[in-house]
Amino acid sequence: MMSLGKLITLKTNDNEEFKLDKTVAVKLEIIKNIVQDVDCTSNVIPLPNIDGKTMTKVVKYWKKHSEEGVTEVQLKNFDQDFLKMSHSELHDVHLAAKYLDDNQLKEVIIQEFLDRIKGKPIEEIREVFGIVNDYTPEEEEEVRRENAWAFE
Amino acid sequence: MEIQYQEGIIMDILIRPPVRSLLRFKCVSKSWKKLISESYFKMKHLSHAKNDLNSQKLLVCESFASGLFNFFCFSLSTDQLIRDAQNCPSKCTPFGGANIYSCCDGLVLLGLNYSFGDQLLLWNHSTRESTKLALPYTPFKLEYTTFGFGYDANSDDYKILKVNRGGVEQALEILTLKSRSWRSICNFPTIVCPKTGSQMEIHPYYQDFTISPVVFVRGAFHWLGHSYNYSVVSFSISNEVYRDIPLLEQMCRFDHKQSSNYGISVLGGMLCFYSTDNYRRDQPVTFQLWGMKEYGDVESWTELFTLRASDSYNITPKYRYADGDVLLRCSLDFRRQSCYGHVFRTSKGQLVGLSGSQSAFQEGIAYTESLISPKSLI
Repeated sequence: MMSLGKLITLKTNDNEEFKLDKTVAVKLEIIKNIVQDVDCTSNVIPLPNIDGKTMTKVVKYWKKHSEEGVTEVQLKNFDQDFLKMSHSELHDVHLAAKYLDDNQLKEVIIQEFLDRIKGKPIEEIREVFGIVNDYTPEEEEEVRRENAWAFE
Repeated sequence: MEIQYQEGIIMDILIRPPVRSLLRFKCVSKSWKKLISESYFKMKHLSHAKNDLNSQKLLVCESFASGLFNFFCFSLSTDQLIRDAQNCPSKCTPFGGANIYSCCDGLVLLGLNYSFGDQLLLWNHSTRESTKLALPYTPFKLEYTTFGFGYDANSDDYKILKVNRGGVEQALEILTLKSRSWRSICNFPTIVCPKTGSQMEIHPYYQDFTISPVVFVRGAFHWLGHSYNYSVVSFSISNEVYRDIPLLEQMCRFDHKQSSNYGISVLGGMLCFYSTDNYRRDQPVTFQLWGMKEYGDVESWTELFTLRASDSYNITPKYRYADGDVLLRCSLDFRRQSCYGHVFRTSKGQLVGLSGSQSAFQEGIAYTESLISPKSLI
């Protein structure tokens, strides 16, 4: 069993360490499970799927959202600022949130992705997801024709 | 920079946008088109849509005395009408009007009346796809016949039940979409009359040239039946077993006047019963709505609200909002107003959608947007 220290250390795949208040960390299913299941005497939890750069963002989000006395407006402003990142960074945070089973963060990221593609031309949607168009112009034209009314 | 997105993440994102956007997104890449066309994706999208207010729509069929009619829909999540007018999904315009019978998983069952005969159509208004269905053995007439439409999880098939008003053509018929053929159901629901001790058939409720609709909930078709009294008949979609769901005595309180209208509907997944005492000059009508809070538990019938309306009659509930407010279709009283027609309004009195559309008959049905292709089901 884990010792009852106040802090938990999360270690990313590039060996960056994040010390977190246990009360913050155990809110997450995955951390809770590791704390309960693994004989983890060192208080260090490895996160093999997440790098330090991404984890910095996740921890920043967690800390703000578990801050005492923080208002709705403050959180809204924070989220707005927090989400100002590149498409690929957003993707990495989504992967991390998914791995950490943090549904709230996952929802925030998905909503941001949806906002980034809403009403946008197809070309811009490809950019958001880094998709290379694999249609020939004729093929794309045909798919577009099949659903022409959706483009009106 | 190219990022390798996992399909799971794309899926998490793509189950949320409306159908129209997804049809556009098919142009993004071959893999997106493939994903959006997969049936498991369509099911995931539907199960998300069922809990998403923005995916709830009301399809309205508006018909005019000239015989012309058109369809449009509006969003049930906002107050504004998002008018999305569409022509009838059929190639030629029916002369005798169209009837919206039933709806399941974004698919609407339509009856169209032609000079050369009738047509049954399954229509996905969101994708604009439709398909013609086989016709039942006995002809159907708009005023005598109604249809229920539901999904049978046991056989992974959609089924349509035809219910006729009692009398010569009272036989029930059922169509399983994959088999493409109708089958008669010979036995009729019966009940033992407590006064005489004899078996009585339960006939579908029929009043004022309309037959009460067949609704689908909890794996069974339901309609209002009439024997020595009123009750809800349920007919299980999988094993075709009848059950009788009694009403409370106080629910049919207008009976003695012989001037009442009853019906059932499903609102927010709850089986509901409603009554309107019929219009009498200079008197407001009383509309009452009951909900069966615990399905199958007769004691759980609860009065949801009672409404007095002086300018309309023939009120039917269509949709229950999250706050308990109910969308109602009301026939306007032409004797009190310069016009007649129908309006959709909430139980709190607010007019919804294309209100005050005059001299037109409007019928509507609430549905959840889906990507399911009617053609793929048969």
